[in-house]
Amino acid sequence: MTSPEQTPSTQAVRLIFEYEGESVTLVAQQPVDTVVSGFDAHPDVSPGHFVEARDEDGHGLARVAARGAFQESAEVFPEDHSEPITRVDVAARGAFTVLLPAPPEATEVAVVRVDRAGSGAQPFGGATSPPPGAVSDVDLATFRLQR
Amino acid sequence: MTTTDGTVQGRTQIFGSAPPNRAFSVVLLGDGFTAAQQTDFETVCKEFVDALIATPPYDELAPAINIWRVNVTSTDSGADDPASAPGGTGATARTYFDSTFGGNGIRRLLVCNNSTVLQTAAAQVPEFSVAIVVVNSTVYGGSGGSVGTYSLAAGATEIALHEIGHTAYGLADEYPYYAGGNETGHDHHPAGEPGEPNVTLNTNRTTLKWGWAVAAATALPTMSNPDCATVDNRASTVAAGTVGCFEGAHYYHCGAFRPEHNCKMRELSIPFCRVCRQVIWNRIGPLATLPARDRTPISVVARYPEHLDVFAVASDGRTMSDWWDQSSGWAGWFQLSGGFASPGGTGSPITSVARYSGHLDLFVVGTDNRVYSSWWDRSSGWAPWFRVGSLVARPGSTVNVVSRYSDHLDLFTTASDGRTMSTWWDARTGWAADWFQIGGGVAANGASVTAVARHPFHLDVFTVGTDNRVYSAWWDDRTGWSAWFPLPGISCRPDSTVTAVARHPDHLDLFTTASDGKIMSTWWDARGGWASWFQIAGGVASAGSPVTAVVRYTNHMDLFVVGTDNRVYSTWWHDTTGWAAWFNVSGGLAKPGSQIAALSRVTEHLDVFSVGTDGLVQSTWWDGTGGWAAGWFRLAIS
Ligand SMILES: [Zn+2]
Repeated sequence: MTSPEQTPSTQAVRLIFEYEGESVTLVAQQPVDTVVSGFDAHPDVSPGHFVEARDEDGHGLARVAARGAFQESAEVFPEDHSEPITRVDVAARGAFTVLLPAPPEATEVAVVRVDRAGSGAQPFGGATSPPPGAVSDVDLATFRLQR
Repeated sequence: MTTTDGTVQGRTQIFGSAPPNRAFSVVLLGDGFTAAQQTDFETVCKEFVDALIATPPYDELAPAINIWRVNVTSTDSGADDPASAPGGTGATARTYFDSTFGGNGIRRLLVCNNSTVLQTAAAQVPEFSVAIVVVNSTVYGGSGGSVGTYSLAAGATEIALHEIGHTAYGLADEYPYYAGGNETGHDHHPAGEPGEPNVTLNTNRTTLKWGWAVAAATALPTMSNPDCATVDNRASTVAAGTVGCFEGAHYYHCGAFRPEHNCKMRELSIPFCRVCRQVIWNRIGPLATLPARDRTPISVVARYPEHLDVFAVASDGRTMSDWWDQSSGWAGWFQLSGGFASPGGTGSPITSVARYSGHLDLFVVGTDNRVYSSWWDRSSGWAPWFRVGSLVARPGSTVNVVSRYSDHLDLFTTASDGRTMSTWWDARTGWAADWFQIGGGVAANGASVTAVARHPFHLDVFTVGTDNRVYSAWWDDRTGWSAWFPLPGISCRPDSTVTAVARHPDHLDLFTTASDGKIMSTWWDARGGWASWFQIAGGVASAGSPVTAVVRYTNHMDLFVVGTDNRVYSTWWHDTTGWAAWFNVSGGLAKPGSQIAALSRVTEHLDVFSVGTDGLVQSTWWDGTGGWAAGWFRLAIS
């Protein structure tokens, strides 16, 4: 039985991906001695791109947001800050990185796109129930972890 | 134009003293600096440090921030500046990261080889949180994404601060246009609540995701755009710093709202708004331990055996949580939806229940002494705190919650005048009309109303009455509420808690402390009725410390309490051997009069939590194979 406090803090992995459109390749992986906060590894399921650690059976263990990934626009900043910041469409091509909790049983990582089905417009209810609108996961790619 | 155009010289830490494995780590990498120009890079890095640390909330978070520079020499000075972008000089420069102005034909769009940057940063500072490239050119430019870039032009540091907002925290752009305001197709934000924390389509005060930051007197929406065909460029109609809903955000003139009139996520050189500051806090703050209210009761829930959610109130009253998952370790303390708990007494605690594994419901008495609830759902994350009914509770009172079955909640607390109050929520009918008084009861000052469901259609409730005797009442779905009746034989402290557990549907065990601190128990059995009170193994509790009971088997209970010497004590009862002697748990000490939280997420395991004498939340555990851990650890992030 694993105890909360026995969890070693040396089980994060640094992953660097390159992408073009939604085609994605893993270009680097290395174990890193660092914590990954719940801010990044939160268990909520929300729309966006994520990287997920999985065990041998494909069961998800932890996921973190892939921020700055698959961007289809870029920000252009004005020299005079009172002028507007603007966005321009760009080809989705580049690289991104995540620090992912990777417990010993993690054998692969998946890059996942989470779509919100239905209307996400429903605000939080005043009572103890979630808003409607299921989410669906799409695996963009999976990669073996070097352990 | 590749990495053959330069050399990585190495890393230097230029700010911070946080442990590397629990820090927010910023890496600055230079591009277009020749070997002779490295001191120029170092000067720019110092300016970045000064700018970041002077920007709230980084000023308060500095103890958790490390900043590194990575010196990289390039063959040539500067960056490409293609003439194909209007204004470009046509200059070329052989640099390590291939920085170039003129991305997408726009001179100010300064981009580089992100993959090379990330791999270099990872090689030099493996734990880095964000990577920023400083480009050696006085031409104004920058860009964001997974790597921020900026040049040496005046004010370009602000680009990096804005871009870290996206990359490190997932903050949205708060500006209300895509291409400057004259674009078409950006009049009305499309349906679908944005997932980011700092923009919304919702202006309902009770459900607004930053509702915690909005004063009651602030109108919602606070400013509406009168002409959705264009951007609302009016000055703010409310005082600077007012948090509300300002129309025009997330690339649209109308339909989306931002929290303040202005923010660094809307305009460079402007401070972060209150909501963005809070988000940054919740990313970096969890790297620290939690100074807790001295006697705050801690609430712990195991939604499933490999996961713990812990709730406590900080010394400044913030409603905080930390969680542990077998896969990812401890998450770090973060504030729940901007909440603050009522002071008074031991301070109102957060109470929690998991009706099913993907859901949590929380309750607290706020600083206005109203009862608030929040919930977390796997599909939607944290909901804002919302008020439950009109009750004005006793300052600092506890809201106890029982889930008799997964679609139902019963709440119990005390009104400002001590009346014992209850309300309920049911999945089919929602919240009850309002709170009601149970059986005409009035509780002693500081007493809570505790409850247990022996089976799904029965409740037993307990409190200390104004005569300092223990009282009980019950509810059954066939007969409704009974009157309160005393369980005579002991006189309690007015603020004593009556802890009740049901080892099986026909049995109750009660634990409390008498006015002299003696730890007392009694039981009820369907066949024999109520037993007399007795002292457990000679135990005496620190004044005000409640007794915590955990049932691991129907014939086994574990108790926890703080002793008069402020040591954490435990004992157990087994049906064949009776009560064991009290023993000190793993050498632990706790704040006088504080509560010990304990739960068993699997039968041969106990997790125990308390506020240590240093004011920090601490934990230890017992395991059937290894016994008690050697000591206590401070609860933070792992
Ligand atoms: Zn903001």
